[in-house]
Amino acid sequence: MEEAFKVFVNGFAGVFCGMAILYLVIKLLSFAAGKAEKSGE
Amino acid sequence: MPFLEAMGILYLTPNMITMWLIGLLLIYLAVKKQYEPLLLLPIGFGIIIANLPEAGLMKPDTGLIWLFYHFGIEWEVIPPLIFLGLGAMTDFGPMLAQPRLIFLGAGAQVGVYVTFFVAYAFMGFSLKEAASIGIIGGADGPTTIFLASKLAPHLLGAVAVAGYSYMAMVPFIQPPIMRLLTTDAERRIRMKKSRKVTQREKIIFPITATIVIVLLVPASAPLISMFMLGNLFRESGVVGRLSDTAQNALMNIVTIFLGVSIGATMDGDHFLQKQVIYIFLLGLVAFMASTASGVLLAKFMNLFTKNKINPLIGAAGVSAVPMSARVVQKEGSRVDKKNYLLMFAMGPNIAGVIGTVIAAGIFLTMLQ
Repeated sequence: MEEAFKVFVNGFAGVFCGMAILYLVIKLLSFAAGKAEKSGE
Repeated sequence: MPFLEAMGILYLTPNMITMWLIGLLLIYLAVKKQYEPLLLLPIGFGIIIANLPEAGLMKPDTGLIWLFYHFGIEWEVIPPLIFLGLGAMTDFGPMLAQPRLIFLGAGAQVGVYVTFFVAYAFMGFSLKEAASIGIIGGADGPTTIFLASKLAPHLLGAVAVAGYSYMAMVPFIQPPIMRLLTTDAERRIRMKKSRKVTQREKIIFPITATIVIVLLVPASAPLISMFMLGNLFRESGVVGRLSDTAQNALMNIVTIFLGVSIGATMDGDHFLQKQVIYIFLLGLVAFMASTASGVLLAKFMNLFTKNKINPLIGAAGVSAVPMSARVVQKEGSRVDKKNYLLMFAMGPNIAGVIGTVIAAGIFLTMLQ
C-alpha cells in the first residue's frame, strides 16, 4: 500500500509540476517569439 | 486421416466462439454505430482471427499477427508513430494563446491516479496492472497501449478496447457530469478573446517542449518526441509532404497493424475472466473522475482569477481530441447559443494529451 501511495503522490506532483514548467515555457515563448514577430510586421 | 485430424473445427472451444461474438459485436458497433470505427473494426476482426483454432496467427516467432504485435507494439514502434501523426494533426495555437488552461489538462489526470489507487487497493490488481487500467482515464488510446504493453501486456486487449469504447462514448458519459457540477450561470460564462499566436511561437514550441518534458520525464521520450516532431512538420511549413504522410498514409498503415494486433491479443482463455469486467468498470470510473476533476479544477481556478474560465472546458482536459472539446461546445450552447467555447476547449484538450503522456512516463519510471 505504501508503494501505491508513493506512486499516487508522485504522479500528481509530477503531472502538475510538468504542466507548471510548460506554462512558464509558453509564457516565456510568448514574451520572446510572440513580440519578436509583431515588431517585424 | 491426417487431413481430418488437422481440421481446426476439431479444436474449437466455447471460449473461442464467445470471442467471435465479442469480435462481431465490435465490428457491429464500428459499422452500424460508427463508434471509433478505425480501431474497433480491425480490433474486432483481430479478435476473430486470433480465436481460430490451429491457425497459429499468434504463435510466437512465426505467426503473422504475432510478428505485427511483436515488432509493432512490443518494440514500441506503433504508438509513437501514431503520435507522429497526431502531432502533425495538432494545432497548439489554442493552448499557446491561453496557457493557464493547460492546468486543466493536468487536472483531468486526477481520474488516472484515483482509478490506479482504487484498482490496486480495492480490486486486487497489482501495481503495474492498476497503472495500465488507470491510464484509461487519460482517454488517449496510443498512450494506454504504450503503457499497458510495457507494464501489463496480458491486459493489453482489455484496456485498449475499454479505452477506445469509452472514447467513443464521450458524448454520453461527460454531459451528465458537467451538468451536475456546474450551474447555469457558470455555463454561461463567456471567456476573454484569445490573443493571436505567431508562427514563430508555433515552430519553437515543439522543440522547447520536447526538451523540457523529456528532461523532466525521460520515460515519456518515445511518445512526446514523435508527437512534437509531427507538429514541427506541420508548423514549419516547409515539409508539407512529410506532414501529409504522417497525418494520412503512415497513420492509416500503423492503425491497421495496431488494431489487428490488439484484437489478436484477446484469446478466449485469457480474456474471458472476471478481471475484464472490473477493467471495464474501472475504465468508466477513470473517465468520469477525469471529467469531474477537470471541471472542478476550472471552478477552483475561478476563485483566484479575474478573467473567469467557463468550467465546462475543464471536461476537455481528458484527451479524446477533439470529441470532448465538441461536447463542451454543445453543452455551452445549450444555455447560450452565442457562446463559442470550442477553441478554448481545444487548449485543455491538447494539454490533456501531454498530461497523459507525462502520467504514463511517471508510471513507467516508478513501476518498470
